[in-house]
Parts: sequence; structure tokens; C-alpha cells
Amino acid sequence: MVTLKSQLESLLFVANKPLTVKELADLLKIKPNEVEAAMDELSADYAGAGSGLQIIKNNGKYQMVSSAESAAIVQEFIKDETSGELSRPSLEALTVIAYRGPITKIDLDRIRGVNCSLILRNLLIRGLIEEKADKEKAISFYNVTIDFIRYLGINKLEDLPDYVRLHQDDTIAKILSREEPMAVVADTL
Amino acid sequence: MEFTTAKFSGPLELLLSLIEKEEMDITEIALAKIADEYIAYLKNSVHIDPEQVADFLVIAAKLLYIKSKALLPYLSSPEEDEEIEELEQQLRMYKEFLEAARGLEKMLARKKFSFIRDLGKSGKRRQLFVWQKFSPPKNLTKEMLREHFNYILGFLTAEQQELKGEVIEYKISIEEKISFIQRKLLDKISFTFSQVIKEAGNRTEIIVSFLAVLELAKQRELEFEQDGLFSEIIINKLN
Repeated sequence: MVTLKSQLESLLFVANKPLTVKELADLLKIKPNEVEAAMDELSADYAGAGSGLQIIKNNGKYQMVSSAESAAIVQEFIKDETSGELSRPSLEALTVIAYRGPITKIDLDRIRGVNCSLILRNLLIRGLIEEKADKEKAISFYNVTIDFIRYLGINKLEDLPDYVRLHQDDTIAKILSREEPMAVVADTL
Repeated sequence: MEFTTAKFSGPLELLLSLIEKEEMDITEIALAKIADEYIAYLKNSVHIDPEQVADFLVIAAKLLYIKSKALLPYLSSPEEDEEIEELEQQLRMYKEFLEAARGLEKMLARKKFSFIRDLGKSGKRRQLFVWQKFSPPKNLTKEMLREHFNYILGFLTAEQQELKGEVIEYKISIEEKISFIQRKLLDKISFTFSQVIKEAGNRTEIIVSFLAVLELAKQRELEFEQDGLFSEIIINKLN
């Protein structure tokens, strides 16, 4: 008998790209939260079984990937030479976006104390972060991409050390909610 | 670490490094103590990205205030004290993320990467960690660019700024006053300061006139004498 989980598993295998909760819900004609529940369960099954495949999740998207544990041998097989090295400013900005995403540029600037326009552009071009525009408020929010998650050896951002504390920190929220930008020169745009 | 040559990713990192070098906690006292070192670093600012200079200077101004407050405590104001508190909080927050960034760096260094089967259209895997040149998609047309640009322009509603009416006062410069006095010296070799300011329209012009006299005295074009306090100043031409 075909179950929802097995259907989702097959779809992820064939799709070979990140699938959004919405896409899956539309396809299977079920509610998004049902998809999410089944996907999270499936992801946990893979993680628990120590499988060579894993299901990673980021920002409402799921993707089937090779497991982080077999990274070395896979890297050798596909002759991948990714070093995972990043410049200091890029690493800092990525960290803030990973822990605080979705985050606006102004909040990122406040946390780092410098204007991050160039870094954001650089990270966007390299596919490490993605931008989501809120058309009504005319502001953009930034998230790390599922591609970046693949390089951290985790299945979702919540697996990052200290994620809950840094993601929800009250003091940070308080500082960010202040009206006057601190130590940040206004963007010329 | 040699601070004069190290490169920092921003003013907060520099500040934090200076405080940690002194093995101090993030406090007002610590900030006052490292103000000089911070500014010394700025003076040697060849290491600072020109884009970031302004951000470094904002912090420098705050540090100078903190230092002056440490020296002259009675000069402080509640609003500015709040700003110091904010800087301390911002620094603590930054420290948290800096530590988290080190954590991420370690995670990446373990190279526990997950791979996907897709090789992309080019047959090559995307290199996320290598600097890539921006190349627009092949099917991008001029029309699409125009459409996007118009879309962005749609966000920008022109702000109607009302022009404030302001009466512009006639201002006289010290150079003008100097040449006025020089011309006067051509006519007469001696006259009084009252004569110089006879046509002065306001207090500023009187002050400028006085400065002009002082400047000409310094340039040895004239000398002046005064019998007593508040009495008439006599101006005499030199040579």
C-alpha cells in the first residue's frame, strides 16, 4: 500500500531539486501542514537510519541529498574540490543570516556594525543566500539557501549549535527594534 | 596579534579585539580605556576598506565621547549615556555572532558536505565557495530589464518636499572687510575703528571688521592703539 511518506520519498528522488511544501501539497491535493508533518517524519527516518541519503529542509523546501557522513568518498568520486572556505566578512554575514533569517539588510547592518550591501550581493551571486521581497512593504528579507545547508553537514538550520537561543534572543530583538540605526551609515539607494 | 597591521571585518570586530586583548569585559570603563588605541588604528587606516571608513568613524566618535565622559563626568547627558549602553549591548550581541561564526567555520572545515545528483545544464557543479563573476542569463532581453527597472521604480514614490521660505542675510566675509580697510588706508594714514564700523549693519559685521583689523596688524599693514578699556581704537598705516 502506498503511503504519503513513500509518495513524497519517490517524488524527492525523481525531482532531483528542492521541492516546496506548496508544490507538494498542490500535487498531492492535501494541506501544506500535512505535507510538512510527513516530510519531517521522513527526514527523521533517514537521519535515524544512518542512511547514505538524507532529506534536508530549509525555508519551506525539501531536498534529497547524499549524507554528510559519506562526503569524503563522494567528493573523491565526483572530483569536487570545494574547500568550504569563506572570507571573514562573508562568514560573519552568513552566520547572522543563518541564525536570524529571514532578516532585512538593515538588521544585518546593525548586528555587524557595517554596511553589508556588497557582501549581500556577493553572497547572492554565489547562491549562498536568497532574497525574498515583501512587495507591500518594499523591503527584502534574506535567508541562507538550501545549497548552503548542504555544506554545513546538518539537515536543517535548527540543528545549528545554540540555534534557538540566538534565533529568538530578546536582547537582539530589542536592539534591532530601535528606530535609530546604530553605527550604520544609511544606504545611498 | 599586531593591531596596527591586522585587518578587521568591521569596527565592532576591532573594538572587541582591543577589549579582549586587555582581558576586560565589555563595559564603559573598558571602552574608555581602548579609545586611543582604536583611533591610532584608524589613523593607520590603510587597512580599512574605503567603503567602511564612515562606519569606523561613527564608533570612533562614540569612543571619544566615552573617554571625555570618563575625564569630565559632569558633562554627561542621559541620552548620550543611553547611546553608550546601546554600544555595549551591540558589542555583546556582535560577540555572540562572532563566536557562532567561528562555529560555522569549523563545521564547514570538516567538509561534511551533502551532494545532489544534478550536474546542472553545463555539466559542472556550482561552486558556491568560489568567487563567481556575475553573468546574466542567456535569455535576458532588453525588454525584461526595462520591465524590471520600471517595477523597481514603482516602489519609489516621489516625495513632494515643500520648500521652506528663508530670508538670506547678507553676509560679509573677512576678505571683503580686509580689502575695504586696505582701500581706506590708501586714502588716509590714520582713522578710528568707529569709522570702520560706521556702516556695519549688524553685530556679525562688527566682529568681522575687528578680525580684519587684527589680521592686517598681523600682516604688518597697520598698527592700532587704544588709551584704555572700551575707548576709541586708532588705526595707523604702517610703512
